[in-house]
Amino acid sequence: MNKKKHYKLVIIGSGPAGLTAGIYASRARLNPLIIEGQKPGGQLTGTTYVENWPGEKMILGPELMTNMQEHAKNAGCEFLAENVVKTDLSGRPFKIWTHRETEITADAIIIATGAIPRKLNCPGADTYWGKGITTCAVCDAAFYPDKRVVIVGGGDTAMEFVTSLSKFTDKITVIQLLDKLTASPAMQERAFKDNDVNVIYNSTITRIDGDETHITKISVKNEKTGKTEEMPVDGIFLAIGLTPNTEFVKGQLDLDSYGYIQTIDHSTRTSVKGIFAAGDVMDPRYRQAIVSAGAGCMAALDAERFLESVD
Amino acid sequence: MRSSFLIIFSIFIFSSFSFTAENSSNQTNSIEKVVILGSGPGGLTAGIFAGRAQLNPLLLEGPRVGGHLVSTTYIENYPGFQSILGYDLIESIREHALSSGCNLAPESAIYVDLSERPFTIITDTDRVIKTRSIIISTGSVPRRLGCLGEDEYWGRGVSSCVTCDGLFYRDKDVIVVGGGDSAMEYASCLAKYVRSITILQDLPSLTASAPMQARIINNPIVKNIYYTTSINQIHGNEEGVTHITVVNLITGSKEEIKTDGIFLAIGHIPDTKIFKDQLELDRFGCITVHDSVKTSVSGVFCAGDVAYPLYKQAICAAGTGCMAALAAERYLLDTKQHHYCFD
Repeated sequence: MNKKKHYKLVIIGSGPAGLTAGIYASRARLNPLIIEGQKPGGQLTGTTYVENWPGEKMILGPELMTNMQEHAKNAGCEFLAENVVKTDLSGRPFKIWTHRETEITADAIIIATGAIPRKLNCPGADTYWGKGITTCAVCDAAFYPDKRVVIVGGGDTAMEFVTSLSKFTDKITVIQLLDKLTASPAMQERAFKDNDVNVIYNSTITRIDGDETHITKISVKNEKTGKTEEMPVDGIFLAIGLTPNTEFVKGQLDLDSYGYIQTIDHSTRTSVKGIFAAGDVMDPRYRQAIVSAGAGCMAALDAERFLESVD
Repeated sequence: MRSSFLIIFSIFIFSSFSFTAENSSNQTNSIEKVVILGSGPGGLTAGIFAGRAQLNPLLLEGPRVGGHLVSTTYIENYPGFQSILGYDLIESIREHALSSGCNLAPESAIYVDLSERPFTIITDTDRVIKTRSIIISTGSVPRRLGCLGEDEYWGRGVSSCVTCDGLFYRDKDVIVVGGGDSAMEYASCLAKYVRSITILQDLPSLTASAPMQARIINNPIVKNIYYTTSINQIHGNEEGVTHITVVNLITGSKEEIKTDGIFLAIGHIPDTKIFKDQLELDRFGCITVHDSVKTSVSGVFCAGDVAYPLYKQAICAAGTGCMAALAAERYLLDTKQHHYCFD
């Protein structure tokens, strides 16, 4: 391709944060470009029903994202179905390169590239993603009343999942790869105090089976003994961490020790003037679509103010 | 014998008390886990998330049920809804909160005591509520002109939000009232698509920062700037605003100006009176945020315009409402006040 184009504002990422930023920036006549990235629509496209998007009691994740994409398109956003691999944020205009070697320059950038939940790497893991396998207990715990659920992981997040899920079911199993949990003692105490939770150590899931529409059982291998057992299961909650997509700005923006972009003063401003961040890429804590959308709106308004001040 | 009777008796009292506390949310002697103040997008979203987290939240709707969205017409910037009436949007968020397990009460908090735990709230129906945590989402009230015709044409030509309503005035003539930074921001935003802008300032000069003023004064779309002038009356017909009568505050002379829309940039007043001296507020009366949605008192959280005055958007309020609910849930767990933590 190798063409060059300049935009006032480029938004990188097309989940709820990126698309909301796009809606607001278009309405402010900034003619933004949204570079969609590897996963157009973001994490919600990999879920089934969403019950916590205010105003929509129940909507399919992909449908909600299609609505938002339409909304952003009609508001006037331009879309580019490419993936950003490199940036130069050392001076304005900022430079962006995609995997197709398209070079784009921008006066301001909103980074909304999200984070990727680490996934299992076993047969069935891809087939049943979103069909019983999830990474969000806040979103999906309520779908498993009195069901048999498995939580994979042994850190604080896994313990939070136990607490969330215990409101709905008492058939909880934790599968931990190591020989002990890594969660803080307080979190462990809270998770296990009133809940009879089965914890399996030194083990991994080696296979996920189902009936096409939903998972039904898993194979669990004890890495020490080498023994594999089958377990009937209705839901798998992965708590094995997320990786923020910030590889392309490393060394140019202030990131925390996990790679999340650090923002300033409860705004979406970053350590580089003219660069803004919204959504899971700057928020390791809440990770909710509505929070990302709110931050996307803030980023567009912050960017608009910035562009007004440098015009 | 006697002491064992006392023990049994006190266990009976205690267990019946905790039964009340856990199961009946509307009695004055029960303790709520979380009370949400305000029923705009911030409060209701907090209600959805707190309800889904099984906190059985009580939401006091407050004096402006539904918040700012109720007084607007079409909303075109709530993601996922291309164009929806403000009233319809807030109604569906309200329904959503109800079906998520949030209890709504048509009451307003008129007094709070945040110095002792559980916190105390007294409502305008004299109900005394005890609660372990509070989410404040009482919003703000746009400062109004107080002139004739303002109420009649509010939402039909008179607005306080360019981000929300500006695009409805493509190629139209509009008035911006105010002379501060937000008035200049309004004007520079509107200048991209309206036909003409007239600025009305009641002081002898603009109060906005110099660069912002320069940009506006030199903009060809800005037709006129009136100083020491205020609006006397807003006139219109079924379609909306048609013209206004302005008065020069020094000479007293009156003039009529034709216009299609009036944008007020004369400030917002955060609804935080009852928290004064109990919570850290900034000089404008907005709640000072610590760590995103925490206030200066642990167990008291905030969401929406009352804490984030820079953005004033429904979607931002909803986002912070979600954060406040999750933060309150975490607080209840950390302080072992969540129902899973009761022995």
